Formats: sequence, C-alpha cells, structure tokens
Amino acid sequence: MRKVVSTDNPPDAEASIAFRRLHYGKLADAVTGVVPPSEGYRVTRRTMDLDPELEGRLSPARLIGRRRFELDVVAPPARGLGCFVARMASADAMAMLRARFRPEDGENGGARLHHQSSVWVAAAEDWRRFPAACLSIAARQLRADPDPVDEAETTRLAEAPTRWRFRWITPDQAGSVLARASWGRAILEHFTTALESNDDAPLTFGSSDFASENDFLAAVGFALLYLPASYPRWDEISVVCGLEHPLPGVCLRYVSNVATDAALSAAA
Amino acid sequence: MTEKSTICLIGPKASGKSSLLASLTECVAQGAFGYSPRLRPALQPVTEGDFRAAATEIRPADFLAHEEGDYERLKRDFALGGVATDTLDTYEYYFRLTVNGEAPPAIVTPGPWLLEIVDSAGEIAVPPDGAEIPILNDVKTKLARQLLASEAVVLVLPLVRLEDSAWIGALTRFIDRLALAPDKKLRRLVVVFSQYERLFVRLGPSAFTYACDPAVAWHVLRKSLRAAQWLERLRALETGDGGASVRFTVASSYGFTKRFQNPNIDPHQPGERRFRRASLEEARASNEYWRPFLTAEPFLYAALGLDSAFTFSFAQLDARAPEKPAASILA
Repeated sequence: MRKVVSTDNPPDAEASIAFRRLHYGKLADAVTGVVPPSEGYRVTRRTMDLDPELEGRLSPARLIGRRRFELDVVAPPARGLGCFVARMASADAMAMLRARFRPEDGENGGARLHHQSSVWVAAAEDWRRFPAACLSIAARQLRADPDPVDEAETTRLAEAPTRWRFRWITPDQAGSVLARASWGRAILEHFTTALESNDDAPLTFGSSDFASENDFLAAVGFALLYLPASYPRWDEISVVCGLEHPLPGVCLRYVSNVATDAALSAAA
Repeated sequence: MTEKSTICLIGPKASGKSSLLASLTECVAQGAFGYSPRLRPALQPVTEGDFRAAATEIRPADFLAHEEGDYERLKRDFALGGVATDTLDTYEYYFRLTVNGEAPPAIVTPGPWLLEIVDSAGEIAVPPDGAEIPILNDVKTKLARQLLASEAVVLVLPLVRLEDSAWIGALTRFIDRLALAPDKKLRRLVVVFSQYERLFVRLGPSAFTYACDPAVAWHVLRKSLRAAQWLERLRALETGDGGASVRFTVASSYGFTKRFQNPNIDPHQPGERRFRRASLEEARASNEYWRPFLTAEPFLYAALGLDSAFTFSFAQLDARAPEKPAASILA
C-alpha cells in the first residue's frame, strides 16, 4: 500500500482507492529503454480482474476521442511526458490515460517512434468522492513508460490492483481554497455555465494560468471535490493535459503553449 | 467509368509497409518505377467520402482547398523518421488512380480507379511465432473481413536477414488460410521485398545503376526465395479455384539520392534517416534528395494487373535466365 498526501490542509480522515492498470505499447530494456527487435505492440500489463468488456473502452484512441492516436494530437510541450486524460470510461468506471510516442532505441534515440500508453481505472464512485486524490496520484505516478522486457509475463498480465491510501479533505475545506483562488472562481463559473445547455463546454488553461500540469491537476481536483455529486453533467466531465483538442462534454484542459480562454482574467 | 478496388498491405512488423505506402505518391510523381514512361500514371489522395461516393457525387467545389488528410499525415510522419503502426485499428487510405498515357485498352478501359489501401500493424496478421500476443480491441476480425473483401494483397517482406525471421511460420499459416478461404475476392497478390537499397550500400554512386537493372532484381528475388518455405503455399494460391495472379518485386522507400545515386540512408544520422540538408525545414530537407524506388510497382500491379520490368511471375523466376524486360526504368 502506498501513501500520497494530496493537500497541505490538515487531514480529516484516511481513505483508499484501488486502480486497475492496462498498459499498451512495447516492452523495453529496463536500463537502456531500448525496444528489442523481437518486440511488437501488445498489452504489456493488465490487472487480473479488469473487466474484459471494459477493456474495449480503454483504447487510447477512444479515450482521446479520435480514431487514431497520432503525433500531432499531443501538444509539442507535452510530447516528452505525454498527454493526460481523465474521464468516465463507462457508467461504473473512470479511466486516466497517459500516452505518448517514444523512440524505439531509447528516450533520446533517433529511431522510429512507437506508441506507449498507460491507463488506470478506478470505480466511478471513487472518482466522484475523491477526485483530488485521483488526479494527485496520477499527476505523480501515472507515466507512459514501457514495461521491462525481463519481467515475467505471468506477473505483468495477472497483477493485483494497486491500492493507494491518502489523507483527504472535505468539500468545505476545498471550497475555502477555491474561494481564495482566481482559478477556483473561473472553474466553478464554468461548471455553472455548462448547465445552461447540453453543448460541449471546453475551458482551456495555459502556462499563464498554471505554472505546471501538476498545479492544474491539483486545482481541478479541488474544484471537482467541491462539486456536488448531484451535478447533472458529472459524467461528462473530462480533465485533459497536453492534448491539442478538447474532449466533448465539459472539458477542463491544460496546454502550456496555447492562448487560454482568458478564464482567470474574466473571473477576476 | 470508375472501378473501385481494395488493397490490403500485409507483412511482419517493421517490414516497411507504412513506409512503402508513404512513398507511393512520390514514386509515381517522380516516375521512379519500372513501367514505361509513356504509361503516365497519376495518383492522388482522396477522402473516404470521395471513395464512397459515386463519381457524379464528388464535390468539385473543394478542389482548391487544402486539408491535411490521413495520407499527408502518414507522409509527414515518414519524413520525421516514421511511427510504428499500432494494433488498435486498421487504417484506410484512399486514392484516385488514372492512366494518362499508352496502355493496352483492356487495362485502361475500366479506369479511372478509386483505391482503398488498408494498412495494418504486422503484429495483427503476421505475429511472431510461438506467442499469443494480447492486443487491445478485436481488430483481427476487422482485418480478416477486409482481407476477404479485398481484390488484392500486397505482402511486404524485409529483404535483409530473412533467415532469422520469427514470423515465417505465421506467414505460412496466413497464406494457407488465404488460399483456403472460399469466399475471398482476391485477384492479385504481390510479394514485395522492401529495403532493396541496402543491398547496394557499398556501391556508392554506382548503386542506382545496378538497382535499375531488372536482371539484378531477378537474381536477388531468386536468391531470396530459394529458402522460403512459404513459396509453395503461394503457388497453391495461384493455381487453386479462382486463383489469384502472384507477382514478386523489390522496392525501396528511402530510395537512392538524386544526383549522387547512392542509397539514401545517411550513416551520420541517429537511427535510420534519409539524407537531408541541415539548413532546410524537416520535410523539405529530406525531399531534396529523396527519390523512392519502385514503391509504386506493387500498388499499380495490384490495381491494374499490368506487369512492369520489375514484376516477376513464378514462371519468370523459375526460368534459368531473366527474360528481356519489355520496359525499363532506364528508358
């Protein structure tokens, strides 16, 4: 069991979340990161009790809302780490994706690129109750790195769910943080505006709003924690970093190099 | 009259399927094929909508508009060094082929042709032997359906290091299944040995001259096929009920450099990169020296059924000496 502290606020209680993992891409040498010539695309890691019906919904292309995961869907500043998506994958499950392209001859290589992605799945209920913790854990731990080629297949394809313990804060505590921050008002107003119609409601932030992707994910985590469970468009909410396009529904997006929707200045 | 045709690109991973496709239009545009220059084929990417629509429904209003389609993205990725095609789906590309020059009437009359070329990862149809590879999504079913509905298959095999390839068993099984499939539409199958330029890396400026000789390609194919266990299975495909015509050829997506004539692989670049001028932007930098070699051959034969100086039948390969070609790239 691993531990993540998701906030600086005093803890009220401890909770835990279980993530099921699905990695897709190629296996690589653990030290050099080089993909051996014999290795091809495959599911490289899978939690043993991952629902096979759900698995079809966890395709990286499907999660990013495109027919194909291509080089130009990831914004240039995010190409090293990869893009990030958190969204509902089914009525009962939420998925978080990190996906990127990397050279087959190691991180700084010049060979052709291959797709590498990691998907973590949590129960929809956990996502609604602990969004800040989900995003905080993902910000620190979810990486699209190849699994080691020397790890036994029986281990990689039959692992147990990973469980994370964390200290969580209450919605009221999140509300007090939001009230003090300009981004808090901007996001909450966006949630309100999104209720006025069923149209897609993207809101894009850039580096002028948040210094890093982690800061953005922490902020969105607070906002989602404050959002009532009865919010009608909860299941349409997606949190996206480094994607060149927003997702359908209510999409909060961070791309460091784009002109933002001037959300913070409008809210100020 | 317009004829529609579906061509499936099949082969082991990293054999150069997507590269072959990415260099197709450039090869046609540069006339770097073994057909007579008087054939004057033209090939342009079109949208899926244009492929599906009847000829009369194709919108004329957008002909000046430029929209980056899937094929342009494939070409751009190829210019940047290439991206391994994933197994999440199969990927279709659409083209309009016309023949504007001299060709036998029986060949030209059905044209122009609307082509659907299906690209797929090698792990799907020809996975490494002895391993059950878990992939995401049921893409195998989709590819099988596309194969049975296709009029032609282009089988891409890497020319070098055939002897230690882990995919030979899977390839043999694939050919067997294709031959036995009762409801297939297959009319033509082209086996392409890719990476042809690598045979000539020590020949410097003479490389292109030797590569342009169909007799050299004939010898290379005969030698490469000598130990191929799957060759007899292919004969069965040709001789069975409703047999498909089988051809063998060679191709090079990187090709040979313009002016200098040497194989277009820069030994000073990391990975495998074409020669480029450092002062230019990425795509232009590579295109200055880029002349793909014979990558149009398999697709033109698959669509037209027209032989070039570099397409060889079983009978030609079985012969003791190469027949004198009817046309040559040197013409």
